[in-house]
Amino acid sequence: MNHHLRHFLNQIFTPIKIFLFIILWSLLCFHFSAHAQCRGSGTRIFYGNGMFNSASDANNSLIELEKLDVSELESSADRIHYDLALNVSESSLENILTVVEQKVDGDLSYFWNVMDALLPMPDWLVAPMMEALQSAVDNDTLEHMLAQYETALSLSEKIVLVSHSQGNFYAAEAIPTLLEKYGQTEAASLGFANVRVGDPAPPNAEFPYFTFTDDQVMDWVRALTHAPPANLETLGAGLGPELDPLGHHFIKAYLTNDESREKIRQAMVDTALATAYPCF
Amino acid sequence: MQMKTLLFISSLILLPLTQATALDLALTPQMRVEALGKVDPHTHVRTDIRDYILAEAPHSRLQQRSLFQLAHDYQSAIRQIENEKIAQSWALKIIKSEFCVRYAFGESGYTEAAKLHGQMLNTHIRARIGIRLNTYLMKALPYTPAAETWKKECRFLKAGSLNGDHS
Repeated sequence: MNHHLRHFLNQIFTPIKIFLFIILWSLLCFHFSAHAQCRGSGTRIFYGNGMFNSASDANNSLIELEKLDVSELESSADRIHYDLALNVSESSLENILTVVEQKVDGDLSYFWNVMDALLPMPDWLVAPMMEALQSAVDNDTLEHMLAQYETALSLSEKIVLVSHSQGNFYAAEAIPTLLEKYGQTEAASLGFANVRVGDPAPPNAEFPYFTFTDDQVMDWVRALTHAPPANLETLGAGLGPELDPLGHHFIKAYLTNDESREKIRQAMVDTALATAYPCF
Repeated sequence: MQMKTLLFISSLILLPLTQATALDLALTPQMRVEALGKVDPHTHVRTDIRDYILAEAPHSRLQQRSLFQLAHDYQSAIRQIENEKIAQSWALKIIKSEFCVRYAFGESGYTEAAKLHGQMLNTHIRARIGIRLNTYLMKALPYTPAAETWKKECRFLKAGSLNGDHS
Protein backbone atom coordinates (compact mmCIF):
# COMPACT_ATOMS: atom_id res chain seq x y z
CA MET A 1 0.00 0.00 0.00
CA ASN A 2 2.79 2.28 0.96
CA HIS A 3 4.67 1.30 -2.17
CA HIS A 4 1.71 2.21 -4.34
CA LEU A 5 1.28 5.49 -2.53
CA ARG A 6 4.96 6.33 -2.98
CA HIS A 7 4.78 5.42 -6.68
CA PHE A 8 1.67 7.56 -7.02
CA LEU A 9 3.29 10.53 -5.30
CA ASN A 10 6.43 10.13 -7.41
CA GLN A 11 4.36 10.21 -10.57
CA ILE A 12 2.83 13.48 -9.43
CA PHE A 13 5.89 15.21 -7.99
CA THR A 14 8.63 14.21 -10.44
CA PRO A 15 7.39 16.48 -13.22
CA ILE A 16 6.99 19.26 -10.66
CA LYS A 17 10.57 18.67 -9.43
CA ILE A 18 11.87 18.79 -12.99
CA PHE A 19 9.89 21.95 -13.64
CA LEU A 20 11.22 23.58 -10.46
CA PHE A 21 14.75 22.48 -11.34
CA ILE A 22 14.46 24.12 -14.78
CA ILE A 23 13.12 27.33 -13.24
CA LEU A 24 15.93 27.46 -10.65
CA TRP A 25 18.57 26.72 -13.29
CA SER A 26 17.22 29.48 -15.53
CA LEU A 27 17.26 31.95 -12.66
CA LEU A 28 20.85 31.03 -11.83
CA CYS A 29 21.93 31.39 -15.46
CA PHE A 30 20.22 34.76 -15.71
CA HIS A 31 21.85 35.89 -12.47
CA PHE A 32 25.34 34.97 -13.66
CA SER A 33 24.91 36.44 -17.13
CA ALA A 34 23.62 39.69 -15.62
CA HIS A 35 26.55 39.68 -13.22
CA ALA A 36 28.99 39.16 -16.12
CA GLN A 37 27.43 42.04 -18.05
CA CYS A 38 27.74 44.28 -14.97
CA ARG A 39 31.49 43.85 -15.02
CA GLY A 40 31.26 46.29 -17.88
CA SER A 41 33.60 46.61 -20.81
CA GLY A 42 35.84 49.30 -19.32
CA THR A 43 36.06 52.96 -18.36
CA ARG A 44 35.87 55.85 -20.83
CA ILE A 45 37.44 59.09 -19.63
CA PHE A 46 36.07 62.18 -21.35
CA TYR A 47 37.55 65.67 -21.23
CA GLY A 48 34.93 68.43 -21.53
CA ASN A 49 36.75 71.66 -22.41
CA GLY A 50 35.87 75.23 -21.57
CA MET A 51 35.05 77.97 -24.06
CA PHE A 52 38.57 79.40 -23.97
CA ASN A 53 39.97 76.27 -25.64
CA SER A 54 40.46 75.55 -29.32
CA ALA A 55 39.96 71.98 -30.55
CA SER A 56 43.75 71.52 -30.57
CA ASP A 57 44.00 72.85 -27.04
CA ALA A 58 41.25 70.47 -25.90
CA ASN A 59 43.09 67.56 -27.50
CA ASN A 60 46.30 68.65 -25.78
CA SER A 61 44.44 68.79 -22.46
CA LEU A 62 43.32 65.20 -22.89
CA ILE A 63 46.88 64.17 -23.76
CA GLU A 64 48.03 65.68 -20.45
CA LEU A 65 45.09 64.10 -18.61
CA GLU A 66 46.09 60.70 -19.98
CA LYS A 67 49.45 61.08 -18.23
CA LEU A 68 47.72 60.85 -14.83
CA ASP A 69 48.01 57.38 -13.35
CA VAL A 70 44.51 55.96 -13.02
CA SER A 71 45.54 52.32 -13.43
CA GLU A 72 43.63 51.44 -10.23
CA LEU A 73 40.42 51.83 -12.20
CA GLU A 74 40.68 48.73 -14.32
CA SER A 75 42.41 45.36 -14.33
CA SER A 76 44.27 46.23 -17.52
CA ALA A 77 45.20 49.44 -19.32
CA ASP A 78 43.35 48.45 -22.49
CA ARG A 79 40.06 48.73 -20.59
CA ILE A 80 40.63 52.48 -20.13
CA HIS A 81 39.70 54.66 -23.10
CA TYR A 82 39.98 58.42 -23.63
CA ASP A 83 37.71 60.72 -25.60
CA LEU A 84 36.87 64.39 -26.10
CA ALA A 85 33.52 65.98 -25.29
CA LEU A 86 34.34 68.98 -27.43
CA ASN A 87 32.65 72.28 -26.70
CA VAL A 88 33.20 74.69 -29.58
CA SER A 89 30.74 77.47 -28.58
CA GLU A 90 30.83 78.97 -32.07
CA SER A 91 28.15 81.59 -31.42
CA SER A 92 29.75 82.70 -28.12
CA LEU A 93 33.16 83.05 -29.74
CA GLU A 94 31.65 84.99 -32.64
CA ASN A 95 30.07 87.42 -30.17
CA ILE A 96 33.36 87.92 -28.34
CA LEU A 97 35.18 88.36 -31.62
CA THR A 98 32.79 91.18 -32.50
CA VAL A 99 33.69 92.94 -29.23
CA VAL A 100 37.41 92.42 -29.86
CA GLU A 101 37.14 93.80 -33.40
CA GLN A 102 35.71 97.02 -32.00
CA LYS A 103 38.66 97.41 -29.64
CA VAL A 104 41.56 96.02 -31.66
CA ASP A 105 42.23 97.64 -34.97
CA GLY A 106 43.32 95.11 -37.57
CA ASP A 107 45.52 92.42 -36.05
CA LEU A 108 43.33 89.77 -34.43
CA SER A 109 46.23 87.51 -33.42
CA TYR A 110 45.77 89.31 -30.08
CA PHE A 111 42.34 87.67 -29.70
CA TRP A 112 43.75 84.17 -30.19
CA ASN A 113 46.69 84.84 -27.89
CA VAL A 114 44.28 85.82 -25.10
CA MET A 115 42.18 82.70 -25.84
CA ASP A 116 45.29 80.52 -25.64
CA ALA A 117 46.35 82.15 -22.33
CA LEU A 118 49.49 83.59 -23.95
CA LEU A 119 48.42 87.11 -23.01
CA PRO A 120 46.48 88.39 -19.98
CA MET A 121 42.85 89.23 -20.49
CA PRO A 122 42.23 92.99 -20.83
CA ASP A 123 39.63 94.57 -18.53
CA TRP A 124 37.29 95.43 -21.40
CA LEU A 125 37.05 91.76 -22.39
CA VAL A 126 36.08 90.47 -18.95
CA ALA A 127 32.35 91.33 -19.05
CA PRO A 128 31.64 89.88 -22.52
CA MET A 129 33.69 86.81 -21.66
CA MET A 130 31.70 86.22 -18.49
CA GLU A 131 28.44 86.76 -20.34
CA ALA A 132 29.48 84.18 -22.90
CA LEU A 133 30.72 81.77 -20.23
CA GLN A 134 27.40 81.63 -18.42
CA SER A 135 25.25 81.78 -21.56
CA ALA A 136 22.94 78.87 -22.25
CA VAL A 137 24.62 75.80 -23.61
CA ASP A 138 24.59 75.31 -27.36
CA ASN A 139 22.02 72.64 -28.26
CA ASP A 140 23.94 71.11 -31.18
CA THR A 141 27.03 70.74 -29.01
CA LEU A 142 25.03 69.24 -26.13
CA GLU A 143 23.28 66.75 -28.42
CA HIS A 144 26.62 65.69 -29.85
CA MET A 145 27.97 65.12 -26.34
CA LEU A 146 24.85 63.18 -25.28
CA ALA A 147 25.24 60.89 -28.28
CA GLN A 148 28.87 60.23 -27.29
CA TYR A 149 27.88 59.43 -23.67
CA GLU A 150 25.02 57.16 -24.75
CA THR A 151 27.34 55.25 -27.07
CA ALA A 152 29.71 54.62 -24.16
CA LEU A 153 26.85 53.58 -21.86
CA SER A 154 25.47 51.23 -24.51
CA LEU A 155 28.90 49.56 -24.65
CA SER A 156 28.71 49.06 -20.85
CA GLU A 157 31.52 51.54 -20.36
CA LYS A 158 31.66 53.51 -17.16
CA ILE A 159 32.08 57.23 -17.88
CA VAL A 160 34.44 59.59 -16.07
CA LEU A 161 33.91 63.13 -17.33
CA VAL A 162 36.60 65.63 -16.34
CA SER A 163 34.98 68.96 -17.15
CA HIS A 164 36.71 72.32 -17.12
CA SER A 165 35.24 75.84 -16.93
CA GLN A 166 32.23 76.18 -19.26
CA GLY A 167 32.45 72.43 -19.89
CA ASN A 168 30.86 72.11 -16.43
CA PHE A 169 27.68 73.80 -17.64
CA TYR A 170 27.47 71.15 -20.35
CA ALA A 171 28.01 68.43 -17.73
CA ALA A 172 25.31 69.99 -15.54
CA GLU A 173 22.87 69.77 -18.49
CA ALA A 174 23.91 66.37 -19.82
CA ILE A 175 23.81 64.34 -16.60
CA PRO A 176 20.16 65.08 -15.58
CA THR A 177 19.08 64.45 -19.19
CA LEU A 178 20.71 61.00 -19.12
CA LEU A 179 19.37 60.23 -15.63
CA GLU A 180 15.84 60.93 -16.81
CA LYS A 181 16.27 58.94 -20.00
CA TYR A 182 17.64 55.87 -18.20
CA GLY A 183 15.26 56.15 -15.22
CA GLN A 184 18.04 56.62 -12.66
CA THR A 185 18.25 59.03 -9.76
CA GLU A 186 22.02 59.09 -9.16
CA ALA A 187 24.86 59.50 -11.63
CA ALA A 188 26.82 56.73 -9.84
CA SER A 189 24.08 54.18 -10.54
CA LEU A 190 23.88 55.36 -14.16
CA GLY A 191 27.61 54.68 -14.62
CA PHE A 192 28.60 58.34 -14.84
CA ALA A 193 31.24 60.08 -12.71
CA ASN A 194 32.08 63.77 -13.05
CA VAL A 195 35.15 65.62 -11.78
CA ARG A 196 34.74 69.39 -12.10
CA VAL A 197 37.70 71.72 -12.55
CA GLY A 198 37.56 75.53 -12.40
CA ASP A 199 33.86 75.04 -11.82
CA PRO A 200 31.41 77.89 -12.50
CA ALA A 201 28.29 75.65 -12.41
CA PRO A 202 25.95 75.53 -9.39
CA PRO A 203 27.28 73.19 -6.67
CA ASN A 204 26.32 69.50 -6.77
CA ALA A 205 27.31 67.39 -3.77
CA GLU A 206 27.57 64.26 -5.91
CA PHE A 207 30.55 65.57 -7.86
CA PRO A 208 33.96 66.70 -6.54
CA TYR A 209 35.24 70.03 -7.84
CA PHE A 210 38.54 71.90 -7.68
CA THR A 211 39.04 75.66 -7.95
CA PHE A 212 42.06 77.79 -7.09
CA THR A 213 41.64 80.76 -4.76
CA ASP A 214 43.51 82.86 -7.34
CA ASP A 215 41.54 81.59 -10.35
CA GLN A 216 40.68 85.03 -11.66
CA VAL A 217 38.13 83.81 -14.19
CA MET A 218 36.26 82.09 -11.36
CA ASP A 219 36.38 85.29 -9.28
CA TRP A 220 34.68 87.13 -12.13
CA VAL A 221 32.14 84.33 -12.64
CA ARG A 222 31.35 84.02 -8.93
CA ALA A 223 30.22 87.63 -8.90
CA LEU A 224 27.53 86.65 -11.45
CA THR A 225 26.58 83.03 -10.66
CA HIS A 226 26.22 80.61 -7.75
CA ALA A 227 29.57 79.01 -8.48
CA PRO A 228 31.05 77.10 -5.53
CA PRO A 229 33.86 78.72 -3.49
CA ALA A 230 37.54 78.02 -4.09
CA ASN A 231 38.75 74.87 -2.33
CA LEU A 232 42.43 74.38 -3.22
CA GLU A 233 45.11 75.47 -0.76
CA THR A 234 47.91 76.38 -3.14
CA LEU A 235 47.91 79.03 -5.86
CA GLY A 236 47.46 78.27 -9.56
CA ALA A 237 48.44 81.48 -11.36
CA GLY A 238 51.95 82.14 -12.58
CA LEU A 239 54.00 84.13 -15.04
CA GLY A 240 55.87 82.60 -17.96
CA PRO A 241 54.93 80.98 -21.27
CA GLU A 242 54.05 77.63 -19.71
CA LEU A 243 51.91 79.13 -16.92
CA ASP A 244 48.60 80.98 -16.86
CA PRO A 245 48.51 84.47 -15.31
CA LEU A 246 44.75 84.00 -14.70
CA GLY A 247 45.22 80.66 -12.88
CA HIS A 248 42.39 79.09 -14.90
CA HIS A 249 43.87 77.20 -17.87
CA PHE A 250 43.44 73.43 -17.58
CA ILE A 251 47.02 72.51 -18.51
CA LYS A 252 48.92 75.65 -17.52
CA ALA A 253 47.25 75.98 -14.12
CA TYR A 254 45.28 72.92 -12.97
CA LEU A 255 47.55 70.18 -14.37
CA THR A 256 50.76 72.09 -13.65
CA ASN A 257 50.13 72.68 -9.93
CA ASP A 258 51.07 69.57 -7.88
CA GLU A 259 48.13 69.83 -5.46
CA SER A 260 45.40 70.21 -8.06
CA ARG A 261 46.89 67.60 -10.41
CA GLU A 262 47.00 64.98 -7.64
CA LYS A 263 43.52 65.87 -6.35
CA ILE A 264 42.05 65.64 -9.85
CA ARG A 265 43.73 62.25 -10.33
CA GLN A 266 42.54 60.94 -6.98
CA ALA A 267 39.00 62.21 -7.58
CA MET A 268 38.91 60.47 -10.97
CA VAL A 269 39.86 57.19 -9.29
CA ASP A 270 37.59 57.58 -6.24
CA THR A 271 34.47 58.64 -8.12
CA ALA A 272 34.94 56.05 -10.83
CA LEU A 273 35.41 53.23 -8.29
CA ALA A 274 32.21 54.36 -6.54
CA THR A 275 30.35 54.24 -9.86
CA ALA A 276 28.58 51.17 -11.20
CA TYR A 277 29.13 49.81 -14.67
CA PRO A 278 26.13 50.63 -16.81
CA CYS A 279 23.99 47.49 -17.15
CA PHE A 280 20.78 48.38 -18.90
CA MET B 1 11.19 48.48 -50.26
CA GLN B 2 8.70 51.12 -49.22
CA MET B 3 10.98 52.23 -46.42
CA LYS B 4 13.90 52.58 -48.84
CA THR B 5 11.78 54.71 -51.16
CA LEU B 6 10.73 56.85 -48.22
CA LEU B 7 14.37 57.30 -47.12
CA PHE B 8 15.40 58.19 -50.65
CA ILE B 9 12.66 60.82 -50.94
CA SER B 10 13.55 62.18 -47.46
CA SER B 11 17.20 62.48 -48.45
CA LEU B 12 16.24 64.42 -51.56
CA ILE B 13 14.29 66.84 -49.39
CA LEU B 14 16.94 67.10 -46.67
CA LEU B 15 20.02 67.32 -48.91
CA PRO B 16 19.51 70.96 -49.96
CA LEU B 17 18.95 71.87 -46.27
CA THR B 18 22.22 70.20 -45.29
CA GLN B 19 24.10 72.00 -48.02
CA ALA B 20 22.57 75.30 -46.94
CA THR B 21 23.94 74.81 -43.42
CA ALA B 22 27.39 73.86 -44.73
CA LEU B 23 27.56 77.00 -46.85
CA ASP B 24 26.85 79.42 -44.00
CA LEU B 25 30.38 80.77 -44.32
CA ALA B 26 30.22 81.20 -48.09
CA LEU B 27 32.94 83.61 -49.16
CA THR B 28 32.81 86.16 -51.93
CA PRO B 29 35.82 86.01 -54.32
CA GLN B 30 37.20 89.12 -52.62
CA MET B 31 36.84 87.56 -49.16
CA ARG B 32 38.56 84.40 -50.40
CA VAL B 33 41.50 86.40 -51.74
CA GLU B 34 41.67 88.31 -48.45
CA ALA B 35 41.57 85.11 -46.39
CA LEU B 36 44.31 83.41 -48.40
CA GLY B 37 46.57 86.47 -48.59
CA LYS B 38 49.70 86.77 -50.71
CA VAL B 39 51.28 83.32 -50.90
CA ASP B 40 55.01 82.70 -51.21
CA PRO B 41 55.53 80.29 -54.18
CA HIS B 42 58.50 78.57 -52.53
CA THR B 43 57.02 77.79 -49.13
CA HIS B 44 53.32 77.77 -50.14
CA VAL B 45 52.37 79.83 -47.09
CA ARG B 46 51.54 83.54 -46.81
CA THR B 47 54.51 85.86 -47.13
CA ASP B 48 53.81 87.43 -43.70
CA ILE B 49 53.76 83.92 -42.20
CA ARG B 50 57.01 83.03 -43.99
CA ASP B 51 58.64 86.11 -42.46
CA TYR B 52 57.14 85.32 -39.05
CA ILE B 53 58.48 81.74 -39.09
CA LEU B 54 61.96 82.78 -40.18
CA ALA B 55 62.05 85.34 -37.38
CA GLU B 56 60.59 82.94 -34.80
CA ALA B 57 63.07 80.12 -35.46
CA PRO B 58 66.08 81.78 -37.13
CA HIS B 59 68.65 79.15 -36.16
CA SER B 60 66.92 75.79 -36.62
CA ARG B 61 65.78 74.42 -39.96
CA LEU B 62 63.96 71.63 -38.12
CA GLN B 63 61.89 74.13 -36.17
CA GLN B 64 61.26 76.21 -39.28
CA ARG B 65 60.07 73.16 -41.19
CA SER B 66 57.72 72.13 -38.40
CA LEU B 67 56.15 75.60 -38.41
CA PHE B 68 55.95 75.66 -42.21
CA GLN B 69 54.14 72.32 -42.17
CA LEU B 70 51.63 73.61 -39.60
CA ALA B 71 51.16 76.88 -41.53
CA HIS B 72 50.63 74.94 -44.76
CA ASP B 73 47.86 72.88 -43.12
CA TYR B 74 46.17 76.05 -41.85
CA GLN B 75 46.47 77.64 -45.29
CA SER B 76 44.90 74.56 -46.91
CA ALA B 77 42.08 74.48 -44.36
CA ILE B 78 41.35 78.16 -45.01
CA ARG B 79 41.38 77.55 -48.78
CA GLN B 80 38.87 74.69 -48.43
CA ILE B 81 36.66 76.17 -45.72
CA GLU B 82 33.55 76.01 -47.90
CA ASN B 83 33.97 72.27 -48.36
CA GLU B 84 33.32 70.91 -44.90
CA LYS B 85 34.76 67.43 -45.42
CA ILE B 86 38.02 68.62 -46.97
CA ALA B 87 38.45 71.48 -44.48
CA GLN B 88 37.79 68.99 -41.69
CA SER B 89 40.54 66.69 -42.94
CA TRP B 90 42.99 69.62 -43.03
CA ALA B 91 41.92 70.62 -39.51
CA LEU B 92 42.74 67.10 -38.34
CA LYS B 93 46.15 67.46 -40.00
CA ILE B 94 46.63 70.72 -38.07
CA ILE B 95 46.23 68.81 -34.81
CA LYS B 96 48.87 66.29 -35.84
CA SER B 97 51.19 68.96 -37.21
CA GLU B 98 51.05 70.66 -33.80
CA PHE B 99 52.60 67.51 -32.37
CA CYS B 100 55.40 67.94 -34.89
CA VAL B 101 55.99 71.48 -33.63
CA ARG B 102 56.25 70.02 -30.14
CA TYR B 103 58.68 67.45 -31.47
CA ALA B 104 60.85 70.19 -33.00
CA PHE B 105 60.61 72.71 -30.13
CA GLY B 106 60.25 70.44 -27.09
CA GLU B 107 58.31 71.81 -24.11
CA SER B 108 57.79 75.23 -25.69
CA GLY B 109 56.09 73.58 -28.67
CA TYR B 110 52.60 74.19 -27.22
CA THR B 111 53.32 77.90 -27.08
CA GLU B 112 54.92 78.03 -30.54
CA ALA B 113 51.94 76.24 -32.09
CA ALA B 114 49.50 78.57 -30.29
CA LYS B 115 51.42 81.66 -31.43
CA LEU B 116 51.35 80.51 -35.05
CA HIS B 117 47.62 79.76 -34.68
CA GLY B 118 47.13 83.42 -33.71
CA GLN B 119 49.21 84.63 -36.67
CA MET B 120 47.37 82.44 -39.19
CA LEU B 121 43.91 83.66 -38.07
CA ASN B 122 44.79 87.32 -37.66
CA THR B 123 42.04 89.06 -39.64
CA HIS B 124 38.25 89.28 -39.43
CA ILE B 125 37.57 86.63 -42.06
CA ARG B 126 40.44 84.35 -41.02
CA ALA B 127 39.32 84.45 -37.37
CA ARG B 128 35.79 83.45 -38.36
CA ILE B 129 37.19 80.64 -40.49
CA GLY B 130 39.18 79.50 -37.42
CA ILE B 131 36.02 79.37 -35.32
CA ARG B 132 34.27 77.38 -38.04
CA LEU B 133 37.16 74.90 -38.21
CA ASN B 134 36.57 74.16 -34.52
CA THR B 135 32.94 73.37 -35.27
CA TYR B 136 33.94 71.05 -38.11
CA LEU B 137 36.29 69.29 -35.72
CA MET B 138 33.56 68.77 -33.13
CA LYS B 139 31.89 66.39 -35.56
CA ALA B 140 35.05 64.55 -36.48
CA LEU B 141 37.78 64.92 -33.89
CA PRO B 142 38.95 61.54 -32.72
CA TYR B 143 41.16 61.83 -29.66
CA THR B 144 44.72 61.92 -30.98
CA PRO B 145 47.11 60.90 -28.23
CA ALA B 146 50.75 61.89 -28.40
CA ALA B 147 52.67 58.78 -29.31
CA GLU B 148 55.55 57.52 -31.37
CA THR B 149 53.13 56.84 -34.21
CA TRP B 150 52.38 60.52 -34.80
CA LYS B 151 55.93 61.15 -35.93
CA LYS B 152 54.99 59.67 -39.30
CA GLU B 153 52.73 62.72 -39.65
CA CYS B 154 55.79 65.00 -39.53
CA ARG B 155 56.17 65.32 -43.28
CA PHE B 156 59.12 67.68 -42.91
CA LEU B 157 61.19 64.85 -41.43
CA LYS B 158 61.17 63.17 -44.82
CA ALA B 159 62.39 66.35 -46.51
CA GLY B 160 65.54 66.64 -44.45
CA SER B 161 67.83 64.75 -42.15
CA LEU B 162 66.98 64.67 -38.48
CA ASN B 163 70.61 64.86 -37.52
CA GLY B 164 72.38 68.13 -37.91
CA ASP B 165 69.24 70.14 -38.44
CA HIS B 166 69.54 71.91 -35.10
CA SER B 167 72.18 74.15 -36.60
